Amino acid sequence: MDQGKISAGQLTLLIMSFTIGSWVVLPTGIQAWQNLWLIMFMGLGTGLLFAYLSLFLFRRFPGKTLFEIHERVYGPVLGKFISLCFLWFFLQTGGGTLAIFKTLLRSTVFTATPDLAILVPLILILVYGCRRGIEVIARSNQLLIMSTVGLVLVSILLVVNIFNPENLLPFFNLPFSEVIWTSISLAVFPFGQNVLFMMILPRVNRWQKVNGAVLKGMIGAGLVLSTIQFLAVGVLGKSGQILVFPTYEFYRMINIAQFLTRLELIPLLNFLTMGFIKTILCLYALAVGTAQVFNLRTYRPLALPFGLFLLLVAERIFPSISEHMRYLEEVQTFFGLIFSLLLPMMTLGIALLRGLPRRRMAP
Amino acid sequence: MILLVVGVFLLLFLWEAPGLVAKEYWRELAVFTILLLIGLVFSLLLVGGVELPYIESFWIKVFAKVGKALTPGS
Amino acid sequence: MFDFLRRKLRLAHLRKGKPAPRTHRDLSPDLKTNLTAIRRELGASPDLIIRCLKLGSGAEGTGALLFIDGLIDQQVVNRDVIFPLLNGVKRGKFQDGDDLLKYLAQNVLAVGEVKKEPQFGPVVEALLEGETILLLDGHDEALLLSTKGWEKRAINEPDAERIILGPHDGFTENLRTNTAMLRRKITDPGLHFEEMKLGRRTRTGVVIAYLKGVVNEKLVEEVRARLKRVNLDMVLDANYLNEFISDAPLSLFPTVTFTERPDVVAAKLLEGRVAIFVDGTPVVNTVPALFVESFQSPDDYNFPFYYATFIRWFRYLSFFLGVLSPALFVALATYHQELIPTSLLITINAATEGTPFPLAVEMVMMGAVFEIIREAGIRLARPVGQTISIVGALVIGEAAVTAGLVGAPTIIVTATTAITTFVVPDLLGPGIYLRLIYTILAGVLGAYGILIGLLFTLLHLVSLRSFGTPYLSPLAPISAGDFKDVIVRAPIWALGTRPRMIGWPRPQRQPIGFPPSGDEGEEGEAEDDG
Repeated sequence: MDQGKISAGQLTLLIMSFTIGSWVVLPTGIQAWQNLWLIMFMGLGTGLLFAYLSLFLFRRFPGKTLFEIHERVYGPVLGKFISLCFLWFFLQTGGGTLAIFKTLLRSTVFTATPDLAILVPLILILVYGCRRGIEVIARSNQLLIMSTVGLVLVSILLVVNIFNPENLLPFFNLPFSEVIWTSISLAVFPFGQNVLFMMILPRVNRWQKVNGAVLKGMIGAGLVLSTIQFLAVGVLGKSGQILVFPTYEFYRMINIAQFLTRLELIPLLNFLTMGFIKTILCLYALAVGTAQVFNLRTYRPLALPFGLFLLLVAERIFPSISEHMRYLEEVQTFFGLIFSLLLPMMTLGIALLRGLPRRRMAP
Repeated sequence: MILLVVGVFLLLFLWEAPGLVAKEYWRELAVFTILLLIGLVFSLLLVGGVELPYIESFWIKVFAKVGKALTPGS
Repeated sequence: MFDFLRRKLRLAHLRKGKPAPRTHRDLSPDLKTNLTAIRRELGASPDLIIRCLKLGSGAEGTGALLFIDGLIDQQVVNRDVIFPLLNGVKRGKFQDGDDLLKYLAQNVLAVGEVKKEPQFGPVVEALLEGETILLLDGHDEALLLSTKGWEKRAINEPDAERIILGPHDGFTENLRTNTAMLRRKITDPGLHFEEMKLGRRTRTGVVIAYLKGVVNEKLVEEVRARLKRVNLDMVLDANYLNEFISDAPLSLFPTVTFTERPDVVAAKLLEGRVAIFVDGTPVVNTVPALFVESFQSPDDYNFPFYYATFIRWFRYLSFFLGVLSPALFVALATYHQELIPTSLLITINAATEGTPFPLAVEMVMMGAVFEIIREAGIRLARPVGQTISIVGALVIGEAAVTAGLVGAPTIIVTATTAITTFVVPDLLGPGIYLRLIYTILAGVLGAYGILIGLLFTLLHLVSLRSFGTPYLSPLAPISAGDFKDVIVRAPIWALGTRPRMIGWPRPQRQPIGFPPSGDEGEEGEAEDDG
């Protein structure tokens, strides 16, 4: 197993990157477009609620990954089965992220580049990074998230001349049920996917600090996403709602004195690094999780086959972006709820019923 | 094309396997090989032009059916 | 493939070499036997001088002095060894029955260090290191007299690390001179030196230097352990050890730094690092090495902080330009033309029209030409070297454009690269490779290719360690407290703590200060004893 340790601060930043991940280029809850930046905070609140349920589970079993908890709570057979379900969830999350960025790149800048030419190099470095362990992932993320946050701060300045406050109106014109529904779907994606960190929490050197780190990370991510959404609405107005990749489109509009123009490539690549971190964490969780399911001594050899799986899934997850949008609208929320809320809650409930853990384990 | 895919998988196997054999990690080798074989099968299906269902389309269908079953009065 | 190489290397590290065949014989009491044995060992080397002496009276007084011509100080040997030997015994209070050898050592010989040695092997070794050997007939022990002295280069300013302000002395090839120069900089009893001999045949003196009380003891142990497993037959330069003890011998990036400047070594020891001196070279290794160290120059601390900060930023900028500009240009001009302002785009297109090769190939080609010109310029004598650069710049650059072989923008970018690369000489080697890789990636995949290359480099850099310290710290893992000497160069009075990853055993360097006030305020005094 990976012996590396990360600090609580690094966990915070990992959670930020993971949450920003792919949502930043392909927002969900598009029906609430103009108010999305506000509903984001309601989603964040609900998402935090989900996260704290899982954290409660973690604090009962400190030092155990989700899969180890499954085996203790459900017994080896059922526990492994539920773990396998989660493996599928990680696979689909990672593959989906890859597919979204692939589609984004191919439909905007790299129109002539074949799929494989985009995916294969990325998969190679994903596998390389995954084999190096969580320490390396966390450290490289520190630099990448800093540049992303920097970019968001700079973009606030860059849109000053094209930002139209009137675009934000009418303010809060949604029916209440719509607001609730959107905030739940936001709580599931992007925030709910953080259930993946249940595989990584035991690698934090001080498990007592985990709660604060998760809180900070999710709030940080919520702020970044909300800011970008706010800017996008202000710049694009109502028409942004019909665009597939609104974030990309709004960076296209930046024009400072005819000199700083067509900057979209920089944010595009920058957000790609967030997707990179998201995918590499999925890959890491897949490899480590499988290693734990089969009681292996090392997860490293599994990084390569799972990298391949990610490639296959990314190729075969949705035929077109419109199908993906339909999926986001009709399925994503239910599908995500199973993994980010129902299953952890069930595990927690059974653990409480069975009075597990019997003895308080040392961290 | 099929040959190429098989060749790539063989290369990947040869890249990883010797280290595992040297360390006598047999379980790891077994899991690695099985995963790689699954990957090979699906890759060959894709390359061979077999129409695998798209994952998200599949879920859309499943959830539509579940939704219909759950909606009262249908 | 790499795994295979790594395994080989690990084997090389582990394999214990057979100790050099050394004679464990004792010296014989018979002078003649000893002399023949030494002659046989050294062959008929003309620089071995054997001076026979007649001391005192009787048969006991026959002796011989042996030394290697050129390794000893003639004056010392004549004045302080031979002269007293010839006169002192007769004049002194030597009585028959006393141990003559002991008497000589205590009363006659006027040299600083005198040792008794009964064994043959160490005697020959000492002889080869420049000591003078005194053998007496009837004694099975030899006296080793420390008379080392040979021709040395004077202290010069190091050519490779020039600075504008600050001390201009550099290390020399002589180990003792070098350690003495360090002692002159740090008059602290905590400055410890540990000597060992490395290289089975060269038996080069290697000294580990550290500042006790500041350094992390584990680090010293690690350095010691790694040096012990060096099993080479020759150590001619610091780099011989470098490649042996570095954490990632196959990485492009240097995980051991080197310098020729005593002030740099002193500063690094005071940060908690360990220095490794090698006899016979002015280059001194320091570990652990950090990526950001390459961007720090001694001049940063000799100039006002605001100016030093500014210069440091330009060093960062230059490095990234030097590594990335060809790749960026290729990516922009081939794949992302919409990002270039229209008027500039027209110019570029006009210039590159009709050139036979793709832009990436042009770039790699001109890069290779530049490297060749550079290498030719270094190896030749200085006046000829300048000729080469003129020929290179004018003839190849001009002519290639005029002949339509490459576009003018390519030349401009190559020239920018050439200049910017030299701003950070430590990373010259990695820079060349990174530039090449990024250019090729940009030629294939555009900006996405560059991103892939950058991510890979990042993952690699982040996974490197140098003697336990993460190579990319304090950037990743972030330790914000150290940014004061990385992102900026804070004023000296604000540099109150050592780098956290290296100097953590004793983090406080000085009272963490605020701007010292002009009038001698109470606060400044009060904080002094912190």
